[in-house]
Amino acid sequence: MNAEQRRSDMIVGFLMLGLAFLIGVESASIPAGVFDPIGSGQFPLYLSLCLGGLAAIMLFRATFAAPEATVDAAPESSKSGAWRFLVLAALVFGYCLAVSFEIAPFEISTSVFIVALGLFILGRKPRARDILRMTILAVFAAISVKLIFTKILYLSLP
Amino acid sequence: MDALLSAASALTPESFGYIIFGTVLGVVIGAIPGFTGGMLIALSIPLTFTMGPANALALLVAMYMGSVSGGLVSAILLRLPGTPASVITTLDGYPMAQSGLVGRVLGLAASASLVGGLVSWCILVALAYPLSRFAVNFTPWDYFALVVVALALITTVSAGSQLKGLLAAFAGMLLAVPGDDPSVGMPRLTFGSHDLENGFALLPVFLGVFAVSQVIQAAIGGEKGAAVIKPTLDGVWLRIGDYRKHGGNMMRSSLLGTFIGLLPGVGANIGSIVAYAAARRASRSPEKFGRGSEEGVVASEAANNATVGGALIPLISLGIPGSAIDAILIGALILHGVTPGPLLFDNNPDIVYAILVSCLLSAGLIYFSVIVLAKPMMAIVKVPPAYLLPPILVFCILGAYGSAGRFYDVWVMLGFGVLGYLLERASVPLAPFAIGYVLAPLAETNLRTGLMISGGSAETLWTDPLTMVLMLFATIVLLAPFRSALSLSRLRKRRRNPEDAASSSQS
Repeated sequence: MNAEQRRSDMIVGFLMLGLAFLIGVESASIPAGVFDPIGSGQFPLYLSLCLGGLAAIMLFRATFAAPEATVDAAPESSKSGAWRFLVLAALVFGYCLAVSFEIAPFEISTSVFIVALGLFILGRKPRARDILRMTILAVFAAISVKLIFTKILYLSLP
Repeated sequence: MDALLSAASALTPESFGYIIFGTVLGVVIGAIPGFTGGMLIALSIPLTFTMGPANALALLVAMYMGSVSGGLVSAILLRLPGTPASVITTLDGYPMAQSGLVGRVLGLAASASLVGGLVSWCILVALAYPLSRFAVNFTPWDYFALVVVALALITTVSAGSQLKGLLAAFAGMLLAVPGDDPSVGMPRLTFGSHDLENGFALLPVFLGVFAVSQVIQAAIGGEKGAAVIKPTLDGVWLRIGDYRKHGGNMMRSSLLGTFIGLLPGVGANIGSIVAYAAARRASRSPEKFGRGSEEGVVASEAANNATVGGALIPLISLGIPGSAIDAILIGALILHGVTPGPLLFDNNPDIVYAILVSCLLSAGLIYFSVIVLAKPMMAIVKVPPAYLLPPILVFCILGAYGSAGRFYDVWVMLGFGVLGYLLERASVPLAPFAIGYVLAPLAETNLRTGLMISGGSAETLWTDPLTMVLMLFATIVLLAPFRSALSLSRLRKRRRNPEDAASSSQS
């Protein structure tokens, strides 16, 4: 198992263990049913015990698995991945806030978001042609999405 | 005759329009690497809110059929399978295309898809109703055991280790639990949150896990390219002799694919792998497999289309999803106020017939779509993800919001998107997660009902014949990988010590 696989397994293992613990503790506090042999809390408790056990095995394997004799990705690549995730999260969060608080009209917020996210995913220095294409696509997509949701689906936008 | 009349009354001209649109869109989207049928169907569910359930299911099933086949275009022309089901097609399709036989290989793949779809449709029509009549007599314990079988199968055959498959299944089931208790109707596990009283809604969960996780992956991972072949369509229309030559392979692969798809929890990629292996064993020139064998392409495509019809059998007759996409279809049924299960034939025959007609028409439309649209599809396939993914993410955000009109669902979707991304990074398969999420309420309701009926005793699991058979089957399926490992270790020991093996065989 290489370092990246080990790291991914450990993250998921701890996440699942935490989830199992959280739901398990809450389930155990649910009182037993009157006419129901197992009540509301037993089924989620059993599930969280099983999930916790599996997560513990996964963590054990990730911790004690023999390392592969391969060249691991440089630490910078995992750092850049974390940074890219944070930037993505900031873009999405910013868009959601802009739309929910109506900081700008829907079409403008959406167009700016699509251009920003598209240029970010592009992963290289954007050329003028990329920006122009992305802007045209963004405006078209923003107007189309608004029309689809409000005029065809009759759904309200945030 | 009555069935045909029911089908005719269930479908309007509008329905046929949806089927054509869904099939073509499914083929186009399926051809784009990174975009799966699950993602397309999850994204399309909000579009069906204003449709009746019959039209909605006709559209979604057509997309399902189309997307499974669409992957063959990019698999053959780009060596990038558009969907997981087309991975095997890449092995022989791309080499054939490289040697200049683009039209021939597209024609073979499209024809095999057509035959696979038609064979599984016939079996679907023949088996779905009798199975549903049989399933009406199922007790709660039988249903619980069936859910256990479905989860055992999906965790065993999913990509990645069985441990991770089980982990995904239990995680999906556990995350379906917060909200209303299905037996009592009281909220539980809300952690004091008013929003969590309704739990995690199905649409945001599926949008997050299947669509948003892909966006995150592309944003963090970056784009990859592949050599593109200039498509020419000479030889795309097959002759009668070609059908005679490949007919046996098509039928065998179609039957294998239908049977594999019938098993709850097994998907199209498994069907194509099994059929490919069978075709290689039966072939007179197995050495050509992996280097441009026509039989390999035919086997893979016939099987992966046949699994769709096979997977719809447990969905229609039992309400058990045959794959992750079937789990999403069940979600669509629930969102339209329809209860899946064996009574679907009685309570909503229009939906059943809509699904059957959609399957049949889509099988034929796929054939023409692949051949006619191959060249235009190449233009779309070459569009970088940077242009496609941002509008898709916007659509996801608005779709999640639009389902109940609250931003809470958007945060849920984004949270599950991150979870889906982390799971995929750790090679934890998403199909068991989706199936576990859909089946959890069914499992809990039937378990608790069974316990109430039996006065708290679970003995029925081992005393009722059908339940016992199902539980034994689930146990065998879960333990089978360990038995294989033991057998392999014995084989390796024998190879290392042939003298010991010889003396033991003589005695």
